[in-house]
Amino acid sequence: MSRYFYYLFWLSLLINTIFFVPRLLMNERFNGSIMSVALGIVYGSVCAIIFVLSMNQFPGEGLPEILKRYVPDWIRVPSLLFLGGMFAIAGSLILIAFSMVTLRFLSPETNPAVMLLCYCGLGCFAACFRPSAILNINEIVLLVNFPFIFYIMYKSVTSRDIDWDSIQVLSDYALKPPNLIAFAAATYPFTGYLKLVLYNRIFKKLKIKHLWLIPLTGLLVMLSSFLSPVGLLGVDSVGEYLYTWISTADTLRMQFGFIQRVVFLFLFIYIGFSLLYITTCWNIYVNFVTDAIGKTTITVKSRKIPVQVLASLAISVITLVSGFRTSDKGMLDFVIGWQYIRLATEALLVISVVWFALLRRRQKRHA
Amino acid sequence: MHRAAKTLAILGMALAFAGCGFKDLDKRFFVIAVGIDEGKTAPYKVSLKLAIPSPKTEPGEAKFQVITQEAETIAEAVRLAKSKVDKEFDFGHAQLIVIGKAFSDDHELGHSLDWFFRRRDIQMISYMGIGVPDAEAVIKTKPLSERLPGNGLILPFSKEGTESPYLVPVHLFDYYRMWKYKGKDPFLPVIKSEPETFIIENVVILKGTKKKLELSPDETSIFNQLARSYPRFAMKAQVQNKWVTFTGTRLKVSYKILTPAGGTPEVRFRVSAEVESEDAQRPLFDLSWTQLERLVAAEMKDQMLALLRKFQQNGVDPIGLGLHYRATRHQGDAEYGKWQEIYPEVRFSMHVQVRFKGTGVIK
Repeated sequence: MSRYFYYLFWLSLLINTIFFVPRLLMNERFNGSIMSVALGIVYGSVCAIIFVLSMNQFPGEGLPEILKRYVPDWIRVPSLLFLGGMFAIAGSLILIAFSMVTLRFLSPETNPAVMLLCYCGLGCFAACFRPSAILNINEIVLLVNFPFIFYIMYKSVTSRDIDWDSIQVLSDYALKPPNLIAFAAATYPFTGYLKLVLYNRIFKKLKIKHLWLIPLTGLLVMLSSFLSPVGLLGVDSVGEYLYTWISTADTLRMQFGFIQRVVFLFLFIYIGFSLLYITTCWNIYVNFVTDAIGKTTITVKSRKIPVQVLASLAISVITLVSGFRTSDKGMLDFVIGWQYIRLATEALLVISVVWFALLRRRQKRHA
Repeated sequence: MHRAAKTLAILGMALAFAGCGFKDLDKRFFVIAVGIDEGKTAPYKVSLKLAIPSPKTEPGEAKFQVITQEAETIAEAVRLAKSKVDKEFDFGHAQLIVIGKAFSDDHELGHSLDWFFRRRDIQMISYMGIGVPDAEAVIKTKPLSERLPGNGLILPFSKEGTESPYLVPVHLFDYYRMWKYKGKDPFLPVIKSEPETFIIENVVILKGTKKKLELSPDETSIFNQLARSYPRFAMKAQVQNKWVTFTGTRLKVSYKILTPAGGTPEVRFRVSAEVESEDAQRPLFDLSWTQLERLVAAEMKDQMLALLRKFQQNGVDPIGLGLHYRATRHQGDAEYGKWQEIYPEVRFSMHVQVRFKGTGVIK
């Protein structure tokens, strides 16, 4: 059963090492990225591990139940809404970013409105699934795509064209002091563990094991995601690419594949991953909103409509509209601002959950 | 009432999808190669090699059409060329970018080729080369054995077909990164068009983005050995006044940059190779193999040193010595400036170790 937790963690790891994060890291590559990545890996792993250990104190309870135990309603409701909103934005960002990527690389002739509508529609539909169903989809999609991901990573690291001198040039900048935005970007891929705030409900009798997998897989994925673009696109020019990892995948060639451009294989895998990520994030948001409101249905004109549906419709419409209005540049600016808020929220959340777990242990001992 | 609404919604979605604007395969022209020349009336002349699909894939049956268009920019030329054909261009299969010799002689080859770097549908793994006499002639050449349009050039570049020691393939992304590297200069292979075939036997070295130096085929082979440790080389040497040709079976080239305090900076190459004799005007088996090895080593050393000094005199660095210097020193941004001071004075030394594997099937 522990594996379901790792699917959530790995999904986030794989998605976020592709979108935004490499671009933010590459922008700062001469300016403290390496130190930030090193610190990010340590910080991300430590947060993940203490968070998981703390959540293990509350078998079968998600954050809404835990908050109900320890804090008054006037804190619980706004914080649930806020956290739900953060998850919703995380999903929407990936949705918009991926729709831009699809438009640019896969099917430039498609109407952007239709494309966004399809993605939002699917996200909206799937976000209302039961949480256990979401975990099952996670398993299926990830297991199907893992072999291809390994293949692409293996190929990018062992490529003949990778320029090791280029990577070594970066070593001079390893001791530059880390900067906040690169640090925030480097910790972002590790945030998959936060999804436990909802899905811990499903882990009724279980303690999550094999926690060493968190730093190990995190380190491997982060390194290959940070270093292979530098080696393949060149240390001096990697910062000029807007879609860092897609261009990196395009430098690889499958001599005996059906299609020789690895980038298409890559994009098809990431369609699955992105939709899955969106679904998972929005599912958390939808459930948190329902819990915050405290009712499962709302009566509109004497008809009962589930809160879940309303919430997922709302986020879909917001995403659709903002997807229309934004651009590559607007997105990046927004993501930079958002990363700071996210980093602070994450720290606060981890600290409070650890605090609750300590309280819980003390209660148990006294009882 | 409900059912009607649902049906309408589904129908509406179906209509929306129908408007995806997707073009069928038979309404597309696949561009196989793009050529850039200097135009007579405009700065650019773009030639596009369009594949014409045919049911027969037999040698010499590859069909294609070449469209040329002159314009102020590449993008404009492609737009204008669209009015000369009936189908939509698809650049997703453009695997070859040929730059005309005249164009490469008097243009910088960086920002003038921006279109290729910027377009999303040009493969980063397409190959680049300089076309002689011009790009259009190369694009129009039709090798007799070609089974698929454009394959005559793509096979040698991708090394799926012939593996020539005189061909140093350059991918688009590789060119871009070499252009931007501080400490490595780009190079491009030269494709000569003949009536029914191509000759690809040498490379041009650029300084920044300007053409600087054209290597001879022999120098190209040496360059291929130095820069990429390409093992399949051929080398001629005199053994007791008779010519003997040796071919390589294994090659490893590594180097170190030494900057002793106060002394002259030195680049120390270490080469280890395994060779066989392939063509000899006298029996070799009973000669001393150690001496043969020494002979080959001396010959390789001379040729490699001569080429390195040629690069140094011309101030170009296609092997990436400067990049290696940056990689192995720890002074951050100051390194490149230092390297530029060092490079003209650097001394090359070369230790070649050759193992003679055999004389073939006869003595």
